[in-house]
Parts: sequence; structure tokens; C-alpha cells
Amino acid sequence: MCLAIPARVVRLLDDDKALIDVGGVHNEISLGLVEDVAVGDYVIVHVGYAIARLDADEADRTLALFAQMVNEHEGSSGEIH
Amino acid sequence: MNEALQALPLLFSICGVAQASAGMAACEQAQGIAATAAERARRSLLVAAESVQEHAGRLLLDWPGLFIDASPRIEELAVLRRSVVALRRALGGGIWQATAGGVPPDMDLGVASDQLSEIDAVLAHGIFAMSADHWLQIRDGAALREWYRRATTVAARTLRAVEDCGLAELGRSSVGVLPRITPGAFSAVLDADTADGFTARPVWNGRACETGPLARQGRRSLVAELQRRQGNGLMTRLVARLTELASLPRRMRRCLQVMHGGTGRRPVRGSGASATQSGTGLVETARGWLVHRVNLRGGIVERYRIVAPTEWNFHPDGALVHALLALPVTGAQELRRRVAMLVVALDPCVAHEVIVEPAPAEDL
Repeated sequence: MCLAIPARVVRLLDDDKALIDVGGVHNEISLGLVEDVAVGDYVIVHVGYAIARLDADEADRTLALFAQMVNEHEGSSGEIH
Repeated sequence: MNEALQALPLLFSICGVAQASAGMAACEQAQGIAATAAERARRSLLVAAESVQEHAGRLLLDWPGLFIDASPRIEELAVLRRSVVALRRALGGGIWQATAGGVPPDMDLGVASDQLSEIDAVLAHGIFAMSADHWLQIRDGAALREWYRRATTVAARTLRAVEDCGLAELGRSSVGVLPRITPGAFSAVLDADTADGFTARPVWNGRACETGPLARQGRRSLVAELQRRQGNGLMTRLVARLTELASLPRRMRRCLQVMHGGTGRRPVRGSGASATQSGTGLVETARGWLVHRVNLRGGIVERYRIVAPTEWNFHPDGALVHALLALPVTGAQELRRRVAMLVVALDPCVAHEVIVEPAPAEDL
């Protein structure tokens, strides 16, 4: 299922692209569908495109939710679908 | 329970409105709350707008490179997405701002109507080369062919390429579509001991089924004719998706009319429904049926189950696998392209990557 893990923008690149960080993994994405993204912002990414910019509060709450889910599944064989 | 409802749109990225709407419906049923017709229309409109965004997104981003060797239409999609965001804002910000039993925020239906017109304009210019309503008047294969031989949008050129490359029946299989299932029938399955297996690999009457545009649009004369002639192959699937996209503006207008005529937007508590402590929410998303099942105990969520449309379509015995099994053997590069076409035609809700590996020598 389409989990919305916030990705932090690490660097702005040419051609409306950016380098993002998700849990230490870096990826290049397009910023063509969102406006006014700056380094340090959090975005939601789908298939190589940022589709939403999150405010800091929303990003914090979402990251906390995912951290909670991971903790609850740690040590179990449960899979997060 | 309210925490669970607020978490849904944060957890799910591309169908957050549909997820929130299904969750809201399930929780309301569990509490014996019945939303008013106007509130139901508001939610349906928001879900339909999200579906427009999803269908148009795949069409404008994925189809150009895959089918006609062209660049993604990012700017057109960005304009459309801005209108969908403005529409959502005009309708109170989304499903998640109304808690079960609460009052939706203030709305501006005039602005919403303007944004629907903007969405119409983008679809007309960028996809259908005419209004979506007008495109829906294409009712047979000959008229469709005339359209895609003449129009120059990505959608038309894609169908032309599919025909010219002899790919119309690509991926044709005998996998049937998911019938319309009542919430009650889903409830029984999702409360059973076997429900965990069902949410991961759902079947109905023992068979994997397809959900999504082809299942929903199969009764329209154009899609039915293509299906008779070419089965559920690539052309039929793509046309079913276009047909669904074309039908959504009209659905959104109808919802807005209901909202204009609606009185009392407050969802009504205890309106004849009983608080069963369990509820099921069904929502038609761009990719197919989305089902949420909640079981409450004393206002606390005891169990929450979700069946996503991708689990049906990408089931190990489902539509994609059977489409792949029917693929003719080609070179690795062409095979990779054809697999990607079939995946995009079914539209998973996650990113995908196609890897072609030669079979071990003993299997050859």
C-alpha cells in the first residue's frame, strides 16, 4: 500500500530536481509538481515526483507515527502492508 | 478512534482522501452515525477529485515515455493538481477535518464550481482534445479509432501507438472482474480468522478478481465492445481508464448539485442506525475498491483492517500475473517495455521496477 513516508530535501538540483533523504537513503526526484520547496523541507514522494510539501508539524507527526508502527512491529513477523 | 481517523491521511500518500473517507464511513457505521446526503456528496466529490488527479497523473507522467517516446507532461499535471488542491480547500480541506459526528468546516461552493471548470479545461486541453462529456459520446470502436487517429494529445497518440504496434490484446487473460460486493459481505470475511490472509491476497468465491476502471466501466458500450473484440488486453484497459476519467467531472458536478440543495450538513447521530461497534467503509478509488473494517470496544479501536485495490490486481493469481504469463517471448528490452505497459495499465499504488532475468539453463 502507498505509505506516505516524508522525505527531507537535502539539495536542490538543476531542472527542477532535488536530492532527498529517506531514512539515510538518498534519491533524486522531480519538484515539477510542487512549488516553493527549500532545502530542509519535507515532501511526500510518489514514483519519482514530489507530490506534496509538508509543514514541519505535519512531517513530525507523520514521522512519529511511522516510528511508532516500526517499534510495534519490531521483533514480530508482522509485515506492514 | 479519532486518532486512527486522523492518522489515515498522514500514513497514505496518494489516496489519502479515499483512505480517510473509507475510515470515516467505517467508524460512523460502528457508532450508529449516518452522514447526511450533502456530507456524503462532499466526500464523494473529494474522492472523485483525487481519482481525477491519480488517473491524469499516470496518463501524463507514465504514458508519454512508455508508449510514444515523449516527455512527461509535468506542467499540465501541476496545473490540474493546483485546481484539485483549491477545490479541496473550498470544500473544507478534506475528509480528515471532519471527525465522526462533527460538523464539516465552512465551504465556498462557488469557488468549488470554478475549480471544477478549471479541471474540465485541463482535461479537455491535455487529454481528450474536447470536453470530457463530449468524449463520453464516443460509444463504439470505430468512433474511438477516428478520435485517436485524429487527435494529438498523449492519450490519443498512446492508443494509436498501441494499435500500430499490434499491442491491443497484449496481456489478454481470463481473469474476471470483482463483482459489486456489499459492505455486509466484506464484513463477514474481514471478521473471520482467515482475514489476515484475505487482506494480503484477497479472492472472491475462490478466485482472484480484477478491480478498478475495467471492472467499473465494462458495461459502457465502448468498453464492452472492445472487451468482446480484444478481451481485457492493453487497449481495453487503457480505454476503460480514459472512460472513467471522462466520467468523473460529471460525477463531481452531480455531487456539487446535491450539496447546493442539501440542508443540515451535520452528520446525524442515532438516525435509525444502531451502534454495532463494528463498521465497514467501501470507497471506489482510482485503482479499485478500497475497504476499511473497524472493530471498536468502548470507543477504542480493537482491530482495524484494510484491503487495498492493488492487492486484488497484483495478486499472485490475479490480473497482472496472468497478463504476464500470456506475454510472447521477445528480447529483454522489449519484454521489459511490455511488462511496464501492463503494470501501468493496471496502475499499482506503489513504484515498480521490471527486472528481466534469463531462466536457468535446465529450464530452457
